[in-house]
Amino acid sequence: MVRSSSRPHRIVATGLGVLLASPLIAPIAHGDPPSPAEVGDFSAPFVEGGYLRQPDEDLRGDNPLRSQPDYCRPDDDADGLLECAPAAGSLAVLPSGDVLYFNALEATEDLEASIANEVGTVFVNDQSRVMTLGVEPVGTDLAGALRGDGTEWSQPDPVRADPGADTARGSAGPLVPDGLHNQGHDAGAAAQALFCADLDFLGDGRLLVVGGTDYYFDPVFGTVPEESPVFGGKTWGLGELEGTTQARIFEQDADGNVTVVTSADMEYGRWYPSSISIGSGDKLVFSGVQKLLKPLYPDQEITNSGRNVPQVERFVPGVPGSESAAGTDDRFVTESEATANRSLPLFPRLHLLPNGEVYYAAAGQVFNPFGQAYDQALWNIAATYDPTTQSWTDLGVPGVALAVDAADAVLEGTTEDGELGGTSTVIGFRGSTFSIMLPLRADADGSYSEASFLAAGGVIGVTPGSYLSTDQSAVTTLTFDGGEVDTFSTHETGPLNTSRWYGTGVLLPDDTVMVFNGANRDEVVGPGTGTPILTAERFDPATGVWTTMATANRARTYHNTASLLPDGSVLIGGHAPITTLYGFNYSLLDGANDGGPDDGLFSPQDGRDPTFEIYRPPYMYGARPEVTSTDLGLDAKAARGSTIDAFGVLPNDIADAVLIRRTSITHLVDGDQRAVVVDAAASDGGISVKVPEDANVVPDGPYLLFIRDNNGIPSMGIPVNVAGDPE
Amino acid sequence: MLVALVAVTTLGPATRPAAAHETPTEVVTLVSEIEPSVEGLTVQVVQSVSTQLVLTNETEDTASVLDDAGRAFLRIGGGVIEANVDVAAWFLSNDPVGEVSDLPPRAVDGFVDDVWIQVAEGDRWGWFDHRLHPETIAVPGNTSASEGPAVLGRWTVPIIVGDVDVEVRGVIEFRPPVGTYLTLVLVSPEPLAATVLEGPAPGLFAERRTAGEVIVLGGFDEPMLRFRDGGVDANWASPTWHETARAMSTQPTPYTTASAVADADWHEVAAVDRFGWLDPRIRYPTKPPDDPTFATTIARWSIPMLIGDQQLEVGGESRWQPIDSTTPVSTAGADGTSAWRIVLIIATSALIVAAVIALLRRELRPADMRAVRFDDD
Repeated sequence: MVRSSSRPHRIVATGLGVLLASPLIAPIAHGDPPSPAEVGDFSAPFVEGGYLRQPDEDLRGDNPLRSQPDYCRPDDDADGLLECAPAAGSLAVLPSGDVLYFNALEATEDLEASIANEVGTVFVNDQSRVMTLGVEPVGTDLAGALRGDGTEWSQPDPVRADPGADTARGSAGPLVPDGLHNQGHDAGAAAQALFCADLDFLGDGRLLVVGGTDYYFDPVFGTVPEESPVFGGKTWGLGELEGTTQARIFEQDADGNVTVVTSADMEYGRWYPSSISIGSGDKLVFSGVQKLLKPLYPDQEITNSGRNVPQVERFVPGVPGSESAAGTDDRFVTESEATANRSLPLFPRLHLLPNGEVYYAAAGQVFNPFGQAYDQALWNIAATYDPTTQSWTDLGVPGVALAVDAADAVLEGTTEDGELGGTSTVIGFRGSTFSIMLPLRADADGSYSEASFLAAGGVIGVTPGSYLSTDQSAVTTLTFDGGEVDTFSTHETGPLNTSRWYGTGVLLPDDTVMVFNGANRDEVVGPGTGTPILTAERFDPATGVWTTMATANRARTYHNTASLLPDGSVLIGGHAPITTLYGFNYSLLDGANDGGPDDGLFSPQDGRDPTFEIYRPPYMYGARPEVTSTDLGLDAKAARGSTIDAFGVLPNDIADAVLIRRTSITHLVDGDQRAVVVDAAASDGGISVKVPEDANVVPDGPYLLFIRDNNGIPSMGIPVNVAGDPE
Repeated sequence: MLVALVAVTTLGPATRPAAAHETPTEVVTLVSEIEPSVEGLTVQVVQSVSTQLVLTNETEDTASVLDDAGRAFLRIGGGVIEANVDVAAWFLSNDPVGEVSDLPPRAVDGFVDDVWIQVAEGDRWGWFDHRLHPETIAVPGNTSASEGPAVLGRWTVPIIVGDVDVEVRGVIEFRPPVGTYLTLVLVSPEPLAATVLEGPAPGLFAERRTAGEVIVLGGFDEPMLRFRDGGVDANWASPTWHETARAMSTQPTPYTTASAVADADWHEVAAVDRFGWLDPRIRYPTKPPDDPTFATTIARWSIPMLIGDQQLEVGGESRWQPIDSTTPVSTAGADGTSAWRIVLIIATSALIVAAVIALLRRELRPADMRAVRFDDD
């Protein structure tokens, strides 16, 4: 390893450290970690081959100040752009166990001066990849575990998921009339980028991707003379990122090949929407914004401008036909605008409740440049959406016990127990946080009367938020009575050990929750100014305490991902930051974790990070229940209400099992994230587990089943594809 | 180049790209007067890449917007929006910068004949009127916040509606941010409990805790919302609710103009006895306190309601909180100005230091020095 540092460098680094002294900069933990059996450990990073920049290559182009990307190679197809490995800005673990991921903000490595003025010419549609992880040899403590060595990559067809004509598919008109200004739609090649889309599994295991980005200029300013030192010869303008109406479906065949086909179009273009499965098998799509930077629509009702899309759309999957695997009769239907419309943040945190309603957790992405939505005060209200009546019910403002009269008025920062609200200083909307639904458990009568949700970190308040991240952590609990929400309360837990913006939450099969990645400041407000947080933390719901765990190798701030893998480990990936302060890639200080004095001080801004790491939790370093076979068929299908028999080396103290939905995540959001604890009983030579009967508890789709002993130690996951009601 | 980037960053929030006529966020442009007032004619200022005017003409007459020479370049009437392509102002009004280099010859040759073409259908159009964009805006460096907004400039846009000459007048004001407002509920009469929803346009969330009907009154003291057993109703005949529903994209009323004196027309908006809505009566004061260095109560607000035969109110106050002593864990949002200032300071400082580092590195670091993390092939 070559270490880069120099004396002047150190001096300046120290000066900056003083300039930006605490509390802005949180300490990064260093030193020898405890044993993996206590805190788990991270594998060495691994990456798709063929992209590593060679030592003699200079890829900085016209701007010598740009930081060099590590995983790009020179342009080899004359399009003027570097060839770079995609990062896992969005990721799904397919029913086969392969990992599908796609890039975010493809081509930031090529921005010369300013992301705001170059997106229409530089950006391209995002690449996608399928990764088949290697397997640890038998005979170690991690027998059968997934690892980076031996991992292989392949490309979906088409690799940029642009099966249709490369034309804009937004629902908003231009800011200025067509014909008077070139809007720049033709100038770029990124009308169908996957970036900003949400992704969720269909009931049959295919992956639905809704929305996307059309990059262009609105308006175009013109072409800069060749001799100009900046933008020479380039078209430039005021960038726009418009949400597209399109939906795409990724399908993997028996040979492992993944193809992408076009499904139906939504009525509204959506950038940063959230989709979620409901018990009927349909999907609902919420929020998103039509145009990110200039949400002004002269051709629409004036109240549509300056806000996100309030309409809700329902995806009704068709029956896959013989000619088109996507099913030509897929369709989107807009829910009743009279009752279903609601202002929500971008990527609203949503969950399907066991009563069939969709819960909005008063959290989302804090990122509406220009569009600090005029109605965003309403985002503070947690609410439920009933897909049957297509209407909303307000629940309350998380953490606020309402004032009854002046004598016991609840003022800022103080709370009290109440019918609505609980004990918490976490008040109202929280931005850029994860929201994890804790495991559902049936009551003695088989009903599900409670659901709890954990949110930690992020920033406080609606856009633009507090910029500095918070360490606050809270659990919000809804109880149900007769299918209706009965109570709603928020209780603060122990805080994170380190304040964290954009940490990805992962529910493990031992009921604990881990948080990975992120930074200590909002990297959307000030890209490149955040301190990466490499140390993972683990939340124990039994104690309400967050514990510091192992430390990752790579800094991953914006567009990071983390996902539970079938063996119970966690795949960590992503990091595709916005260019430094909306200019070009430039790591403040050197941005590298190379042993220099500035390590970890600022986010690396030298391009995206296409590497992965695998985190192995403590339960992988000891004896685990070992399942070797089940009575499921090759398709792993199990109807709701059916029984699954599992066999293997199973201790006598098997306690229960947990069904965990396979991950499909982007921007901290996995709308279908859920875990359901189910009873496990001894059967003939094995363990028998019954799949819950309620489609609102386990909607159709791919899951992993973990058998657990009395200590909560889980087996490796058994693939289960829940399909349909009992016959 | 870095200097240019610093300049971009210091002009406004980091997420805002540079634009001509970009002004500090403390400078606001407002419509102050429409003289004479014409029912059905509204003019608003909208901030996008630059300040825009948006004209809505719901009258039966055509409204024509005039340029400085008195020629109409835009007209709205009969559900049609038309542009006069013989006038340069039309082309300039579609450019946020106002610098169109390739104007059609007929638009620069002086008066010939009006040539009207339809550009859209509807009764509303927004354009960049550069009378709102003075070449320079001199932000007073010594303006005291306690003196209130300082008027930096005035503008006038003439419009002809039918045969009536109308002047839309406005101001450009400087409003130095030196603190923030916290808006709180202090009084909430039983059986109602309420809390403020913070945001650019604040709202109120209320819950009926015990039995008893509560009717929240609108801005004209008309019934607007009704909290009752098992639900909340909105009065479609309330003009206040009419605008609120429109802004919230909730159930639209069938009324184009509702009347405050009409009989109530109740429709359910919630099947539980709690509900949140935007309410312009909970607004942030426009004038800071006399001494903005001290936290103080600066304004009180109230929303009237009928409980039984009594008229009571949910009341609260807006507190002034100086920036220096703002509690970071305040209720959601406030105006967020302090956060942007932090961004600005950090961004500017970091870029300056980064530029120095870059220069030092180029001078002092061996050419082949770079971090090698691990090899993949």
